[in-house]
Amino acid sequence: MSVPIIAVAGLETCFDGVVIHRDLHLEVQRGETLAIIGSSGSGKTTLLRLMLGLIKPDRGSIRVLDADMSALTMTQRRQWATQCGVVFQGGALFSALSAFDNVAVPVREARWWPEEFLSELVLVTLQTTGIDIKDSLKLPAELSGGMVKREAIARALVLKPDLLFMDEPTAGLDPEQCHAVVRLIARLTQVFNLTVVMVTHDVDALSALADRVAVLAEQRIIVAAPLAQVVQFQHPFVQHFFEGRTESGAPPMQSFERVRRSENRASAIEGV
Amino acid sequence: MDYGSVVTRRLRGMPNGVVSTFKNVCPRPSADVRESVIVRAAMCAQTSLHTVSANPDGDLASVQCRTDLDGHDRVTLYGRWDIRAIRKCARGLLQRLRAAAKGEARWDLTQIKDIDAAGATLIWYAWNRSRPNRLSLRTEDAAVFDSLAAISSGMPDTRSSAEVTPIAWLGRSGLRAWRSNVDTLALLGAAAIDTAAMLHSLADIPRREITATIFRTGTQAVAISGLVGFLIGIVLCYLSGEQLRDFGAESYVINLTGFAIFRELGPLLAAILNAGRSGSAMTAQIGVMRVTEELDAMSVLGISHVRRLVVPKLIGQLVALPLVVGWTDLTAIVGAMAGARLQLGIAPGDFLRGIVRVVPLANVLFGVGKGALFGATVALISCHFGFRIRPDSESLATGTTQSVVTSLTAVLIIDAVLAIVFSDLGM
Repeated sequence: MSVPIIAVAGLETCFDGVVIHRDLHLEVQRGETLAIIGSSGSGKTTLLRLMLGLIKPDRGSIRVLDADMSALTMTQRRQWATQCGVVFQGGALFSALSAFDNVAVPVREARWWPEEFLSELVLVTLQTTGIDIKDSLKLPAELSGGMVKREAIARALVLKPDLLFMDEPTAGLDPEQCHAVVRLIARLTQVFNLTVVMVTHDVDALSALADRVAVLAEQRIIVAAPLAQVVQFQHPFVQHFFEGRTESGAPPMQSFERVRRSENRASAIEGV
Repeated sequence: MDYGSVVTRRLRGMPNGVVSTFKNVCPRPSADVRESVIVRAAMCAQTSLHTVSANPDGDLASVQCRTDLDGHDRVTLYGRWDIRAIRKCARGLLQRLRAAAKGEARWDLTQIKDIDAAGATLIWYAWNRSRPNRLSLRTEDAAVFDSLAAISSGMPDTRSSAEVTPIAWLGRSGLRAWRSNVDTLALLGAAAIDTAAMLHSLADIPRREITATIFRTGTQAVAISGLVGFLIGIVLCYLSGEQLRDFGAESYVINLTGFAIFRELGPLLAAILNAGRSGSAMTAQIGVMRVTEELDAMSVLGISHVRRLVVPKLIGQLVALPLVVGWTDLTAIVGAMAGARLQLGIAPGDFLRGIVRVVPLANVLFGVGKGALFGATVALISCHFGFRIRPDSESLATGTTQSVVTSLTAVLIIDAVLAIVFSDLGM
């Protein structure tokens, strides 16, 4: 097997004495899409932030794109940043900058492209993610949730990175928008030949995008395998997460199903 | 075979311009380039070759120009045309493309390994922003050129709006200032109405918020106001004492510092510190609440912004700032007393007795009253600017600055007006 693009080994993280990760191991191969799932508070986003070098681990090593994330100098970090795009949960767009300028920031910072050709580059990138040029001068506050996600994706991809991190790419979107964003990511992953690491709760996104699913529970990755195998895995969280779903993926209304079932249970209790 | 001779042979019989293009554009090719060019030229028996740059078989972006036997130029692009590959040579590539794009050339983009928005932009520029008539393109690459065509037709105007003449600017600023005044007054009115309403049902009074404001404006300001008051007291006493000693009128330092501190310095120092500390904090707090949609959440829950945010700040400031003024007066007098003892040898006891004798109580009350007025002004202006902040970081920054500057200006203007109107009070 080739050298993994991300290698996390023996990771241990504590916050105020509370252990978040203990002896966590994870490897991501070049070209694959890995989804990290886990119950809320299990440390998924923290793991993502550790991989991005935003927080330091208490023990263990994290290597991303051949760089040790706990010992990056500022110059190395700038170099590293051009090879990797990040889509934060809320978009993390610069609120004072227009859609155009937000996407132009990575290019201008890296000084990769002459300013006179910049507008086409940025506008085409925006269009690739489905933002119309007439919206390119709007501020993030004037854009809808789906548009903010698209713009964040455009900003993450403008330098044509090898690696893309996404935190809940479909959170806070309506089902139609979710679907559109999932399709967009699927298309871009192929076009840009990306390695993707994403944290998600969305089973639709999982089944449509992920080559492998890593389950974070009991402070470590309990299983990292293709979806069909993970669904079979015997663990209360996994069973609960995929409850009532077929092996091939998820029927579209599974979460609704679950709610309805629990409602039925509730009304049955009331009936007694 | 000699590269030069092959090319020259192929070029023979061509117009001079073509030959010179080749000579100008083509760098001295390396051995392997030479090989590949020859092979390529040999394979395309029907074509002749006149421009080459870089290695057409590698990952490097390259432009190859040939002339088909029917006399048409054919431009073929090779290599990777993505931003990572071409970022360092964008301008050079564009020059080569432009040189190749002269006349009605056939464009062959099917040999490209990878193309993205950056590479397409360069090619688009070479085409003068319109698709050439003869173009071979892979279907998956067509989208990016469609995108570029759409942009060229509907490019938004990125320049700022029309220039503003000085008169228009003056008018706009005047109108904005006037509107700001009206809005602040409206806020005062709303606060008054809400306060009156709260007096009807005492349970509605936001006690927790009021005490929180008093704590922030009053208690937390004790140290800094005390220090500033004390130091200003010393400075004032030293400077005036120096002048008065020349006239042998040292004892008048008591009158001078007493009046200055109680009437002006105490209230003003407290208000200036207050505008900087509490005023900016109030504006930023309300502004961030707008950014995080907390204001909307309050509206949805039926909580009045004025009642829950403005009135407590107003009342808190009304209560706390006069107390801070009293404290600043006190420390400034202590400072002056220390200065008088050190510089002029006036005993602290004499100084205090002198203050009580020469400065009528009305001056102290006037100063403290001004403190209440300043407090209310700072609170109102800060809240007004807080509500005007739009949900972005830039607006938050300008809003906070404007709030502090406006509060300070308003405090000084009010102070000047009061000084004139009440010039004979307590004299």
